[in-house]
Amino acid sequence: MSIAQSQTQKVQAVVIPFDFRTLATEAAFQLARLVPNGALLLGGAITVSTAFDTGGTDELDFGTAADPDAYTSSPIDLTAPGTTALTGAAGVIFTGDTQVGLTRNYELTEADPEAEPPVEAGEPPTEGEGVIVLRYVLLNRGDGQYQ
Amino acid sequence: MLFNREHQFAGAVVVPFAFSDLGTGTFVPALNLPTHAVITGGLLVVTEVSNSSSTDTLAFGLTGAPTGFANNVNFKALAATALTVTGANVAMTGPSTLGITRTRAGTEGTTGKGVLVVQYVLAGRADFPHG
Repeated sequence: MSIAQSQTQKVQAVVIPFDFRTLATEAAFQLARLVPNGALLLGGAITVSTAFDTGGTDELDFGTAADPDAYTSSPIDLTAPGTTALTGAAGVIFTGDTQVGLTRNYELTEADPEAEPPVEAGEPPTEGEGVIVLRYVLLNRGDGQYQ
Repeated sequence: MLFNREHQFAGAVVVPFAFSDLGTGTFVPALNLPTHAVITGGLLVVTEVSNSSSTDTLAFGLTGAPTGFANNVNFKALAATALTVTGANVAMTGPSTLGITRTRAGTEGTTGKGVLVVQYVLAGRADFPHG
């Protein structure tokens, strides 16, 4: 039995821009995209292009509704610019339409006037943005022969 | 002139396979790529482990270099192995056949499946202009 495949297909991607206004502050899964049944994930990355100037903790996880941190082995620090490759995504095959999205860990610093030196209350961010790219192909899809 | 406004979509070839397709010690053609194709990445994914009686591994590469892009991938473990895309074999200098070679030491089993994904671009191809 032959396995030879003559069909080629375009690599697809979901591209999820986010900024300090579009991310919910509560620690709950925030649906970003629906990835189709039969998708085979190739990988991707999370880029924080402008650091969030949050006065406290501000982190991001990326994954599925069933496993919200599936593709971030540790939370992404939104207060530092940089690009982090997704982990655990390559080779995953979705067996149904699958929700992927973000979960934010957001906590402003509490004021502590008794501390030495005194700690002021953290302020919400006024800037910060980034983008997530998740690349995939589809099983049994063909866009055409080699061109 | 080096500057070029043309961009292209990355291509991929997706090849599902099963243990019964591969035999042992035989280069099994999986796909052809044209001259000027450049492999940019890919995965060899074991989605169902082989239950053959002894060691069982997979390799992927060109006809003349059958282990060039992946070698000793354990067919008895669920995993996704990234293709090794360095060296002279990455750019196709002529029409090229790539395939999977399985090395099974023991007797054949009844399970074992996977998916091969090869990502590539094509020098000289243009899908849309920008800039």
